[in-house]
Amino acid sequence: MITRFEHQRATTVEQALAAVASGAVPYVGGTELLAAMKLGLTAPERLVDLKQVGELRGVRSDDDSITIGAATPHAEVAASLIVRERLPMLANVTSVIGNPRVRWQGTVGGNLCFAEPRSDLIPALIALRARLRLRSQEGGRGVDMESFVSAPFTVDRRDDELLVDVVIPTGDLLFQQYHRLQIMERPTVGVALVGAATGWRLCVGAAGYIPSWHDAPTPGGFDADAVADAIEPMEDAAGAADYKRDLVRTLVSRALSGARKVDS
Amino acid sequence: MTSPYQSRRVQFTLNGRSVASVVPLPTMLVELLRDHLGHSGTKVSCDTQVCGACTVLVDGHPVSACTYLAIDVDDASVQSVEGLAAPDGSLSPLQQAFIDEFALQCGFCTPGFLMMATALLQENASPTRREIVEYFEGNICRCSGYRPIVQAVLSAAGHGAEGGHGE
Repeated sequence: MITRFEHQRATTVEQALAAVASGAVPYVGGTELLAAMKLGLTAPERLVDLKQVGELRGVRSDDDSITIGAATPHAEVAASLIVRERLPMLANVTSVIGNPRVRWQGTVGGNLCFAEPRSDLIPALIALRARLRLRSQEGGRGVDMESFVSAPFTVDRRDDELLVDVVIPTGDLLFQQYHRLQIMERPTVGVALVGAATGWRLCVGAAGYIPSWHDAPTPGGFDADAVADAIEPMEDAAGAADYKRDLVRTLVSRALSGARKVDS
Repeated sequence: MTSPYQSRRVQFTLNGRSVASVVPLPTMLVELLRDHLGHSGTKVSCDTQVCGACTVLVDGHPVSACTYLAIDVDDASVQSVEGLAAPDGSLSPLQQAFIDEFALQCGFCTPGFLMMATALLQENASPTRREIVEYFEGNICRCSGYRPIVQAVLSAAGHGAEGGHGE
C-alpha cells in the first residue's frame, strides 16, 4: 500500500530544481518509482512530476555529439532518426527495454538514476563514454557515465540534484554493437562494445551487481575469458553464477568477432 | 468514507468524452477507470507492468494503468477497451478479428491485447508476424492462445489467413 505523499507538477527546470531542493523525489513515467512504492520499498513524502518539463525532453545533436534529455521516453530515443543513423546501438537498446508500455512510460533519466543492476541502457552508455549533466540550485556539474553507478540502485546524484541530460560523443565512432540475452522481464546479460579512433571500450551489464568495463586500444586487447572471470555474477531466477559467467564469455566473444571483421 | 490521503480533481478525455473525478493522490489509473468511472473492461492481473492486462492508451501511447498515477492523466486523452467499438455497439475490425480467429478463451487478458494491438496498428499499419510477436512481449495469456491472437492482428491488418508478408 502506498503511503501518504504530496505531489506537485513542474513545468520548468527551475520549478523542478526548487522542488527537489525541498525534498521532493522526481519522476516521469514512474515505472520504477511507483512500482517500488507499491511494494513498500520506498515511501517518499513528496513527489515532483517532470512530464511537462519540455526542456528535459528530446534528442538534440551537433557534429560531435548527441544529447538526450533525461525525461525522454525510451521509445522516443528508439524512433529518433538521428539516433538511428549515428547511434544504431542505442536505437537498438532503447527498442528492447522492458516492453512497449515501459518504453513509452519509462525514460532514459529514470533508468539511469534508478540504477537497477539489470539495465540495458547503463552498459550501453558506459561503452559509448556518455557524460551526464546534473543541475541543482547551486549550479551544474558533469559526471562520466562509468562513475555514476557505485552500487545497485545507488548513483552519484544528490537528492537536491536533477539529471538534466546525457551527452554522447559521436565524432570518432568506428564500431558499436550490443549483444544480450533475456529470458525474464529484465536482461540476463548485456554486452556493449564500442570502438572509437581514440580507443575501444567493452562493458558488461546485468550479470554483475554493477556494470564492469574494460578499455583497450584495439579489439584484440580484450580477452573474453578474463572479462568473464572478472564478473561477480548475481544469482537470480534467470540463472546461477556459472551460467551467467558462461553467457558473458559467449556474448563478449560474439562482440569481439564482429569487431575483428570491422577492424581488420 | 474519508481517505487518509490528499485528494485532487482530475479532468481528462476518456474514449472521446470529457470526464472528471476527485481521487486520492495514490490512486492508480486502473482504479480510477474501474472503481470511480465504472469502466471495468481494463483488468488488473500481475500489478507489476509485466502481463499487459491493464493496458490503456494515454495520448495514443500504451501504458500500464496499474502503475500510472491517475492524477497524471489530467488534461490527457485516455482510450480504454470500451472505446474500441463504435457508438452503435458495432465492433472494431480488430475486435471482430479476435472473435473470428477464436483469439480468446477466458477473455481476461483480451482487453490488454486489444489495446496493445490498437497501439501497434497505429504505429505500424502492416506489421509482420514477427513484429506482432515482439510487440506482445509484455502481454501474457494463460489460456495459451497466442497463435490465434497474433493471427487476429494479422487478419485485422489485412493480411488474411496466410500470415502476412514474411516472418
